[in-house]
Amino acid sequence: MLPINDTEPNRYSALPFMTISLIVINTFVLIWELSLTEKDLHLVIGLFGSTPSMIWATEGAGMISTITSMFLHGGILHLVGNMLFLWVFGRRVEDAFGPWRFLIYYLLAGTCADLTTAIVQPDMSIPGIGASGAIFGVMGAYLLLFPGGRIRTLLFINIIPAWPRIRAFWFVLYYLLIQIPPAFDSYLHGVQYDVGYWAHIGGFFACIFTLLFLKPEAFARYMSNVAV
Amino acid sequence: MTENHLLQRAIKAARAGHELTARDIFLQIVESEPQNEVAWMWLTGLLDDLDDRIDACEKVLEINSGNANARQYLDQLLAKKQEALYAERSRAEEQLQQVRNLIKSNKQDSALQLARKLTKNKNVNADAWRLIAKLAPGLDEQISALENLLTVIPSDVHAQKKLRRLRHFQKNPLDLAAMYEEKGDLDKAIATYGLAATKPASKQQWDSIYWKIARLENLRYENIAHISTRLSVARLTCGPAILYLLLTLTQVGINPFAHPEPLLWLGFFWVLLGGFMIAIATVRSHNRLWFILFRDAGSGGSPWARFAMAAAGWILVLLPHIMLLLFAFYRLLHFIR
Repeated sequence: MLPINDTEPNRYSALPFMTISLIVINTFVLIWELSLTEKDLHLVIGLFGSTPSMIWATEGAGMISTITSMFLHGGILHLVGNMLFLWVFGRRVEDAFGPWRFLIYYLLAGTCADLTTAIVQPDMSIPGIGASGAIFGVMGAYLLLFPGGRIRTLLFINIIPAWPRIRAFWFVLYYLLIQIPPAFDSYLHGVQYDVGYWAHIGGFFACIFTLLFLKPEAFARYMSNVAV
Repeated sequence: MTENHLLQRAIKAARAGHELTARDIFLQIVESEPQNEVAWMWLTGLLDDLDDRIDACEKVLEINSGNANARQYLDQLLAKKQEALYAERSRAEEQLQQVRNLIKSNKQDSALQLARKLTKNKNVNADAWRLIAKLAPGLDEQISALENLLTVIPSDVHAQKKLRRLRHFQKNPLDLAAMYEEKGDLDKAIATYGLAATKPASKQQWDSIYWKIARLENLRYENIAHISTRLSVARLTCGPAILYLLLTLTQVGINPFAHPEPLLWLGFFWVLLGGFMIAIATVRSHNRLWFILFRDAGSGGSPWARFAMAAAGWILVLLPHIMLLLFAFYRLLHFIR
């Protein structure tokens, strides 16, 4: 189940400048990563990925790795998947926030994701990389602001593709719910996954700060129970 | 006919009760003989207006300063004038109170009409002008009321500032419309934008005004609640500070007591202040908030004031982040070694 696009138009500005910039930066960082030797890549990920045990031990790059880990990806598929979600959900959230406030919110959600992983799995020594924590934050904001929005979604029923318009509420809820079982599995049984499920959940809950970033008019609309 | 004969005739007429005739003759006499003390003395009792009587008395005393009757009468007249003035003032004060009561009971139109009536009185109270400046719907009337107020009390600093502000709005109607919009008065904002659209500076400006009107009409149609600028500023202030707080937590190993870094925590307040300055720069500088916080800086209405505020705010927000970055960078170098 993959999102293809958000079928609703922007209200305030036509160009999602910051969303596009983030996609471009992430892409360039991946291109740079691909140009590195495997040894160097491991070193870069070790230093600039976010490792919970290093956060607790106040070792390594500290807050630098919290930021840089949001821009590092493990491969092309990892990047494409994340950027697809960022494009689909980020466009209208940026429209409601404004580009600079959107950037601050994005970094805030990524930091929340990091902190959640560090708190829940303090002994984990595998560095976490990827924008997914921040993107889950963007999805959370989307859920709050546009629960009635429709997401064109690519589905495969057996092998037959379909692209229905699914209500954002159900789409985001589905993605949130599928994070919970593996997250608790890793917490209770110490199972190591390649995916930072706790980071996704932590990033998602950054949406509690959504109202602090809304443009005044979008906030007034939200408070009036009208489409933001 | 000699002056003396005329004088006799006037006195005779006055004694016979023909006061108008007598007054005319006495006036004729003082016109041709301005130093005629007797004529002036008679006039002090025959003139209608209190001020004219006082003038006549003063004239008598100017001719003969030893005239005890005239002096005594002048004192009486002056006391009477004082009483009249006092009565008039208390009547005006009563009416002003009526205006205030009407405002309190939300009858703005009646209050404005009464205040306008009060200003027709020649001993107009400055408060009447102040009330008109507050109540008048049109900018021109508000400006004229403030100008009149300043002729009565030229040193009224508040009125001076308000007048400066209104004149700015008179020259820049788009600012005025934006101000109404910020206050949530959509009808006035649309009307003012509409007025500005009749004489746009360029085609682009006309387009921009058109879109603003369309947007406001949508807001009115959708019945969007007005959010106070104070709430907006409070809300927008917090975002950067929360990000800084969380980044600092990742830097100090989540437990601030195990690894206290006072300088980093101090940065939180800088970011909060910077966030506040950025947020306030999004509010029109004619907003009351600017007056409360920065007094004169808010009266200029200059976009530069807002730009400077935002720039200073960004610097305050970025400085602690740079400090945090340096702390992290230093630790990274130490770790690599």
